[in-house]
Amino acid sequence: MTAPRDFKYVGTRPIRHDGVDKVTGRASYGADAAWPGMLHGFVLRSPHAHARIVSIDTGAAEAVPGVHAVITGKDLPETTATIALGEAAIDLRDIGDNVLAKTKTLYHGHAVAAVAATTIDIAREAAAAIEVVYDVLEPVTGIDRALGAGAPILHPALVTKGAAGPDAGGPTNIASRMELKRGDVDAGFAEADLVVEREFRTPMVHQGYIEPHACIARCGEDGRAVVWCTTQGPFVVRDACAAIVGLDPANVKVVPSEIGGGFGGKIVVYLEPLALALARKARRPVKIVMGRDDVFRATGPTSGSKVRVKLGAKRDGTIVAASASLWYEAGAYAGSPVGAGAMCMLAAYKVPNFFIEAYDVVVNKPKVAAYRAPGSPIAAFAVESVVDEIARELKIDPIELRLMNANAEGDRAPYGPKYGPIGLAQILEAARAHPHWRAPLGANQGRGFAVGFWFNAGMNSSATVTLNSDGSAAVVTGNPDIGGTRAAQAMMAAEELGIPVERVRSNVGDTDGSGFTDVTGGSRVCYATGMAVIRAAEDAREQLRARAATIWNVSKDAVGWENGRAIPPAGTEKASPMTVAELTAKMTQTGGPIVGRASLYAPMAGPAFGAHICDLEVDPETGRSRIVRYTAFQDVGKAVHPSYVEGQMQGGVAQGIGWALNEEYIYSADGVMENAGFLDYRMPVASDLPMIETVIVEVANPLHPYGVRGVGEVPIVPPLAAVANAMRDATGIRFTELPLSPPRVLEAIEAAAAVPVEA
Amino acid sequence: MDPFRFVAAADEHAARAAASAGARYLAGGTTLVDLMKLHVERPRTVVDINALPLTEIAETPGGGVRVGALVRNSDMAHHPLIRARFPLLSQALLAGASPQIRNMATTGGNLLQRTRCYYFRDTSAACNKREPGSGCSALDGCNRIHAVLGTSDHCIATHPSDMCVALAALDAFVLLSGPRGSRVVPLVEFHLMPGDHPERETAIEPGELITAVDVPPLGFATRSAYVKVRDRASYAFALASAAVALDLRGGEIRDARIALGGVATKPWRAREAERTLVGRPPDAASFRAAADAALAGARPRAHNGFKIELAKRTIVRALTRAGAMA
Amino acid sequence: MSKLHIETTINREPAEFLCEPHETVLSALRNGLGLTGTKEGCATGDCGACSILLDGRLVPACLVLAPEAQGRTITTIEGLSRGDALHPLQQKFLEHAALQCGICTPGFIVAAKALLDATPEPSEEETRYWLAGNLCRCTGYDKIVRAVLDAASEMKGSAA
Repeated sequence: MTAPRDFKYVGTRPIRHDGVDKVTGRASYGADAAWPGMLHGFVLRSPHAHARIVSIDTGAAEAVPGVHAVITGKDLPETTATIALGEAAIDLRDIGDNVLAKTKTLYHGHAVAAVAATTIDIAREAAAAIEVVYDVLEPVTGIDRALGAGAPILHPALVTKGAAGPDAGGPTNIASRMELKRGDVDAGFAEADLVVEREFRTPMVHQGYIEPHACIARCGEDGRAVVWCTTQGPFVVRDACAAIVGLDPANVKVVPSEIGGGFGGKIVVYLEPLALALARKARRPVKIVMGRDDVFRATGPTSGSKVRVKLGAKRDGTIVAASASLWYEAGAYAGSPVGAGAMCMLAAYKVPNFFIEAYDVVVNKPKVAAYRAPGSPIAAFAVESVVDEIARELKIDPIELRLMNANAEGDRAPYGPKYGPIGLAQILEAARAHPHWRAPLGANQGRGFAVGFWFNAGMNSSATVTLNSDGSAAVVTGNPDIGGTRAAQAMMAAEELGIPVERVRSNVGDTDGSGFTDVTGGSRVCYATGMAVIRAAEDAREQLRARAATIWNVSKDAVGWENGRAIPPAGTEKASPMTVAELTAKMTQTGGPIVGRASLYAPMAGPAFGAHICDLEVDPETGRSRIVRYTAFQDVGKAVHPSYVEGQMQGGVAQGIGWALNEEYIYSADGVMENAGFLDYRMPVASDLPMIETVIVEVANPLHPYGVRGVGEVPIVPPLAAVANAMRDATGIRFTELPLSPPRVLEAIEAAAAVPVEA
Repeated sequence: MDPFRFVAAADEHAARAAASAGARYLAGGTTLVDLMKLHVERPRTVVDINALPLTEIAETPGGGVRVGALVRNSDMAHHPLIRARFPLLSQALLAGASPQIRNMATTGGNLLQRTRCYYFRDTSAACNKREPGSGCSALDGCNRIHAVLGTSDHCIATHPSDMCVALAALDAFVLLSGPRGSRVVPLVEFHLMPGDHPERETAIEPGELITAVDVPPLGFATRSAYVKVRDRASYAFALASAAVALDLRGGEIRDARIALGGVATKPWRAREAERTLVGRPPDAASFRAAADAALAGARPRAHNGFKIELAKRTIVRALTRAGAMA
Repeated sequence: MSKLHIETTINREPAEFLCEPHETVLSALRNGLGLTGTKEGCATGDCGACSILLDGRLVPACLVLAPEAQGRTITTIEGLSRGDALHPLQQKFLEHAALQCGICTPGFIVAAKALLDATPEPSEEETRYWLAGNLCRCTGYDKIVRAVLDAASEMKGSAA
């Protein structure tokens, strides 16, 4: 490892480059664009959670004046393609069927047809004229029903993938089963002085981005198409659209708009293939904007879950054994994040003996999408609640207990590899030393503590750094900027080139204008794409050195570089150092334009931990609780723009608090989501939260030139348990089901009070 | 929204003239436009009455206040007369919705605010209120937010208003103007219980226009409180709320007002509970007895049983707060 | 049904547009007038992304029918800056990094302007309750509240 570097721009807080556009309303998001000749699309959705499509008659709809195209599942080819997403793969057959149902509708809100017309009113009216005959089937409304005897089967051909379990064979709603194990679990538990086992449940929750999905597509007679959309992954949209609609990916250009939040929910496609298929049929551009109710009912969410956890510890606090079973709802198609949950749940602890089994369960609810550290918060809620119980039983400080069992560099992670440098001990020590941990609590208040883990992703990234003749630079990458990454990338380029950060323009390219780049997700942009930007800037800098060498007529190796200036070798006649601007002014004379390029695949990223302290006050008469103080500690490797690192931490905490206290999909018995709006699906508002204190800990990640680690996902992992542990501290009651809404808390307090206290 | 004819009425006469069958008056629009987008409300004509001169808040003889039907919730909440004389009303208004919504919502519109019942708002669900005779999906559905008082076998939808709860406690009157002249209806009779006809929500007749609300003088309303319990600190409907006022003299309760929100099918005046307080000291036992009386007729469904105890505690808290006032 | 002709004042300039009766002011601004700074997050008045000032009052543009705008005065996010000068709220949102994705930002800034117009020195609690009708999913509100409070103190300083 190299010595810590003195940074000039990294670690400062410049105003973000896209900021003025976003505070003045000029920034253009998914629904903000309009193209000449544009039609408006409307999607007809299934009123049934589970039904066979007997027939669809679009004749009446097509006859409505102003209607230019109507499509159903029959208009889209069945595809068997997959898209690589790092190590994982997205099965486009399922995505295609999710986008527009072919033979069955698998959740309330599943798209069955789409219409393009001259106005949205006409499109809606025409959609209402489409006659769909359904054979309504009993819906599978949850995990217990999915696994129960005689359960309706969503996919008759579904075979459980992975490690065969007791339920293998025959029609099933279990899409996959995996196991993780180490050591001898029975022997481990036999060694334990204390064994705590609990079962936990969490409801489906939505990412809750404020911007609904929106896109415009056009397709020419030559098959060349352009899609403008709000997405985390323009290349995913390109490849998915091409496969689902039946076009050559080389003919599809995807232009990402500004993106109004995603949190994982804007990685796959929903509207884009429909707009494209309609546009191809109508030969006119088609715009589709989703309504909020459809966003809730047909996009996102993350899994509802059941998780059983058993931990064994010795009297001194050493954890000696763990076993766990996880069942996550996948929604209508395979693919819950249960595997990630299983791999993350013990990541913080040295556990010599464990056995974990994880089930991916299909149910008649929307197909789940990634949501910030997918799978990990649910698993952490369970494990961190049980660890809290152990600390209480053994009367050991919760931070001490975790320090005692904490994994460190060189320890083998439960999911396989050995950890490199990780900051777990450092954040635990920072939390222990923080005044919050010792601050007195008021009446009816409790304090909770929890840690969380996320792998972070690396994957593919590309970047170019183009120098202008005035010495300024333009960075282009393929990652939509969802929370300030333009600024971070400009800072990195500025750092390498030695030019002021304001002199760097940072841009998001479209799929033709940038090299292949994986999604804005996995906390990978500042890390992996940032690394590509650094290398591209280095490439540009090397070209500048070569130009200086030409000017000075010396060898390139002899040209030094310091503070943004090329330094001539000692003793060179009449040569004085040249700035970037002086060198770029002579670009044409010295060999032409300078474009630095880099592309890379980062197989690993450098995992990260967070630790949260939550103070909560409960009103024992009404069950209502309020977060009164919250502090988040996180190992971020190196904070490039600390304000946006803090912002990621605060935002993740807020989402986690919402998940813990209020948010839930409320389903009726027939599988209809009843609270598909922001007033009834209640996300935290400003009056629900205190200031959220952040403590940035920097344990350099050796995989990144500046030591950067992914930041965005870790902070949503600890809050569910931190809040529940605080509630336990305040009320004496261990809650195992979320959300901790007033009725649930009140009921538990009443039930506890009704039990006579034993002397 | 389904298409409709839009008429901007310059005065009351024009408004009533335009209000043919299938018309709706538009004031703040926070309920109407929302429900039109859901296709729950499908008026053929929308008569914009915002230009009508119904925006005054004026003192009435004896110390009461008359509030014009188009006074916005935020303006009423912050008006000095309301704050000084009827603090529970100001508190109730500020407990509702968000600043944006309070800025739009009007007094008259709030009297006609419609329920937040999931099934009422979902045109694919059975709902006797929206579609008489179609059934009630809430009876055996997700009924955590539904009513325990004033329900029928046909509807258990909760009345959503905060303002109306305070007005019920204050014995307010609704002033109506219609084709056959003006009339005055006590607020507690203005809202109807669902009974066999949940689609009939108020005593308002076709073509009638709410012109004002009269809040009669009530000296002891200065000793009052509105307590609202909900899932979050703000911008959420009540799980239970209580508007109370106490006439306290010589260490004894001479008179009391109690009304409930969030638990009943209409703004719920708890007269029996009020009677139990008269002649008793303002202590925990009296308040609890009143709360028990207020919920004596409660009928819970599968998921809303918690509301009974919660409402009692809300009443006790509101009475305790009012009792402790200087 | 023929369209209605509406005359109004938007961001200090006279403006007119044609609309269907069942269009909202939000739709008229965004689709008719090209003022896309006002965002649609829910269309039901619950998220605050479409906050505008209508005759100086903060309202959600998604619940106001377009014909209701006749003769009224509208201020949108596009009307807050003057020439080269950002409104102090806009500047403080930038300095405090009070936005991440930015979709809620116009609504927050307009809502905060309405707050400071009426309450030049709001407390943190007043600010949080006032902004309770505006949803942000990225920031946890911390930096937004700080930006508003900082703008308030700066505006007070410059007014003195």
